[in-house]
Amino acid sequence: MELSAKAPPLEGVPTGVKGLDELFFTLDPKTLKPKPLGGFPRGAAVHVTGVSDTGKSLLAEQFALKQAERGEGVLFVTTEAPAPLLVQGLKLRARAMGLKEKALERVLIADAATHAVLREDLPTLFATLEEGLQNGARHLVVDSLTGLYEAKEIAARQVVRQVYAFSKRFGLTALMVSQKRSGHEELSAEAAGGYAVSHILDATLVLAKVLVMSPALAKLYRVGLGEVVRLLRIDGCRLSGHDTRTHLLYIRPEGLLEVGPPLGEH
Amino acid sequence: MVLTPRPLEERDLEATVLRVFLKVIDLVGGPKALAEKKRLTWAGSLMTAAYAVVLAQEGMKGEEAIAKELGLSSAAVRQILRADPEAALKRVQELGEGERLRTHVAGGLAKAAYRAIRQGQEEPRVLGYFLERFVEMMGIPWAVLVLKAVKGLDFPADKEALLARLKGLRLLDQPAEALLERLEYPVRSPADLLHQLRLHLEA
Repeated sequence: MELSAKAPPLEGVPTGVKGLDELFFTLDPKTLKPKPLGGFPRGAAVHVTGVSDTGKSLLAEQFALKQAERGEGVLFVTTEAPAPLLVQGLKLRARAMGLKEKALERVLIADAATHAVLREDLPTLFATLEEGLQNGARHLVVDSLTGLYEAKEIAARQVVRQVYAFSKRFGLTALMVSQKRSGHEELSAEAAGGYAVSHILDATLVLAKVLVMSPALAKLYRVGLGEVVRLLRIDGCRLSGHDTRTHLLYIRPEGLLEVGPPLGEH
Repeated sequence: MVLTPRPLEERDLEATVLRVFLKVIDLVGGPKALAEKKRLTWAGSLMTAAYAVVLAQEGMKGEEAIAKELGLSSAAVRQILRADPEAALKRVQELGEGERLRTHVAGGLAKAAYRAIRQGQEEPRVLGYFLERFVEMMGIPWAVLVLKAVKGLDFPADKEALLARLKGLRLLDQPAEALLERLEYPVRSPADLLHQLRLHLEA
C-alpha cells in the first residue's frame, strides 16, 4: 500500500517531436486496450543513442523546448556544444516550433563542454544541478552521457548509475543522449560503454541512418539514389507499453525532427 | 540561463570524514574501550581509511587519485576500498593489546561506519550532545525532555526500549506512550526519534 502511494501516476510528458508521443502506450482502464500515453512516461530516464547526424541532439533540444513551452523547467547538461552555441541552436528550434524566446529562460544550462570540472567531477555536476532544481526544474537533458565518461568507458556503468540515481531522487523525467562507436550495430541499443547505458536507463530510442546507394535500397525506402534515410526504433521501455516497429524519421527543412510511418506502411 | 559550476566544498567532505571516524570509534566500543585497550595508536590508520572511503564514495575518486591525495600507495588504497566490513569488525574483537591495525581492518571498519552513517546511525555521543544544546537553544521543551530521557540508550532502538525510558512523559499534552505507538521502528538515532515525534505532534 505504501509503495503504491509513492508510485508516480502513469502519464505522458510530450516530447516535442511530431509523431513520437503516440508511440508510447498505456492501457485504457475500461476496454483494457492500449491507448497512446502522449509522450515519455513521466519520471522515466530515456536513453537516445545513434551514430552521428541521426538527430539525437535535435530530439534533446525539442524535448527541452517543449517542456519550457509548457512552463516546466529543464536542466540541460551539455558536454558537446558550449552554452553559447547551444543557445543559438535552441533559439532557432524555438522559432521553428513557434515558441516565444522568453520560454528559453526555463532551460537551465550546465555547460560541461566549457567547464571540465562538470564533466570530470560528478559531485560538482550534481551540486550545480541542485541549484537549478531550486528554480523549479522538473526535467533533465544530458547531451551527451558519453561526454561524462570519455576516455574512461570502463567507468560508464558507475557514471550512468549516479546520473540515473540523481534523476530518480528528484523525480525528474530525463532524456540522455549517448554516442555509438564505429563497430556497433546501428539499430541496436548498444552504445559507448557497451549495453550498460540501456540496461540501467528505463527506455532506449535508437536512431539510425542509411545512405541509399543501391537500386534495391532506393526501391525499399522509395527515395532516390544517394539520399539519406533516417530511422527510429524504441528498444524497450520498462515503464509503459511502446511501439516495436522501425519508423522513418525526418529532419524537416525548418530543422525539426519528425517521426514518420513504420517501414512497410510508408 | 547558464548555471555557474558549484564545486563541492572540501569542508563538506571533511565533515563526513569526521563523522565516519567517530562512528568507527563507536563501532569498536566507544572511547573508553579504545583507551582501556591502548588502541589509540590506531587513530592515524582509522583517519586515513575514513578519508579514503569518503573520497571514493562521496568524491567519486578512483584509487590512483585517492592515493595521490592522501600520499598512499595505490595498493594500500585498494586494500582499504576492498576490505570486508564484517570480517574487520570480527577481527577487532580478536586483536591483542597494542597490536597494529592492518590496512584492510581499518578499511573494513571505515566502510562499516560509512554504511552506518548513511543509514542515519550517527555516532550517538557527539550527536546527542549537540542535539541537546540545539534544542535548549531553540527552546523546544518537549525535545529537551525526550533527549534527557533517552540519554545513554543504544540506537537503533525498538519500541520496548523507548517505552521504558519515555513512559509517563507528556509531550505537548500528549502521552508519550500513545505517540510511541505511531512511530516506525527501529528508530535509528535520537535525531530520527525527534523527527518522527515532531511529525506526529504536528499532525
